[in-house]
Amino acid sequence: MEVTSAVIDYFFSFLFFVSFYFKARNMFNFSYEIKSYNVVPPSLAKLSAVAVVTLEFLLAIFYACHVLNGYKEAATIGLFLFFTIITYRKKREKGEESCNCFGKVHFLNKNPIVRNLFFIILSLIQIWLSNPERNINQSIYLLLGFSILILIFDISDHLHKLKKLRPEI
Amino acid sequence: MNIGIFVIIVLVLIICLALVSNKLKVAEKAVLLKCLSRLDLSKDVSYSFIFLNYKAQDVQSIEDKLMNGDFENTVVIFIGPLWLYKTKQKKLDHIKLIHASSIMKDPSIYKTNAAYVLNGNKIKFVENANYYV
Repeated sequence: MEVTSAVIDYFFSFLFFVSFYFKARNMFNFSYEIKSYNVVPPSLAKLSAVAVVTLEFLLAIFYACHVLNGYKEAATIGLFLFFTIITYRKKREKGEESCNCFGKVHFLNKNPIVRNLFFIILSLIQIWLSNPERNINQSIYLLLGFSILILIFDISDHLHKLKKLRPEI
Repeated sequence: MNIGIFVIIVLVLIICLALVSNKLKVAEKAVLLKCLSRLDLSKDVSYSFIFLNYKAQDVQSIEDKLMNGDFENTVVIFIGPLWLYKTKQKKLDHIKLIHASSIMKDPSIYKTNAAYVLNGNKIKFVENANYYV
């Protein structure tokens, strides 16, 4: 039970960290994505983008540090439920289901509705599972480890693009 | 391992990313400027560039928007076979359309319909042009 709970915590921490990183790296892109959902007025798209990115960053830290148990899972369910509803609405109105929620991690961008429902179920399981306390040092190592992984992935992606574009300079 | 070593690794990687990111922007800008010179367009005006990949998702939706709107300062770079490009030229005759092969050797990095906004030295990127158009 404890191991499963820890794995789910680390999984969500990584998930929110990836999502935060790629959105924060290109806020211009994310504000246009928000506009495409027609949920907020275009003038508030940037502000909404900042709010979502901040929330995702906080959730990544809460999951890594293992604090606010119960509340963070409720926030996760609320967030994914909201995204599922607006994605479904967009699919019905425009026939579009695409999302760039996880930036360059393309496999996580596919089938957003099914993916979100899976995350909601996972959060419900996490509420039901026991949540023992964990060491804060472990959380810091975890977050730094995530940062290193994502940065290496991003650098290699940039180098790959650069290699293909370079002969054109 | 000490936390300090982890922090140093993260900082080094951030510096590397900033350097590579800057080089990539220069390369991307060079491609876009090449596009402007091919079309004999002024480099002083702000332009939007849409990479229209016929294999990508939402291509039909973007095409519909392009057909119905006024896109004076927009350049569309088509990624696909030449015969299809010719039919698109007829269909989007009011748009500045160019085939990707005339500005770059390998357009395969644009798997999605990406968009760029070039304003002087500033360059901004949108992953899915459908959000931008």
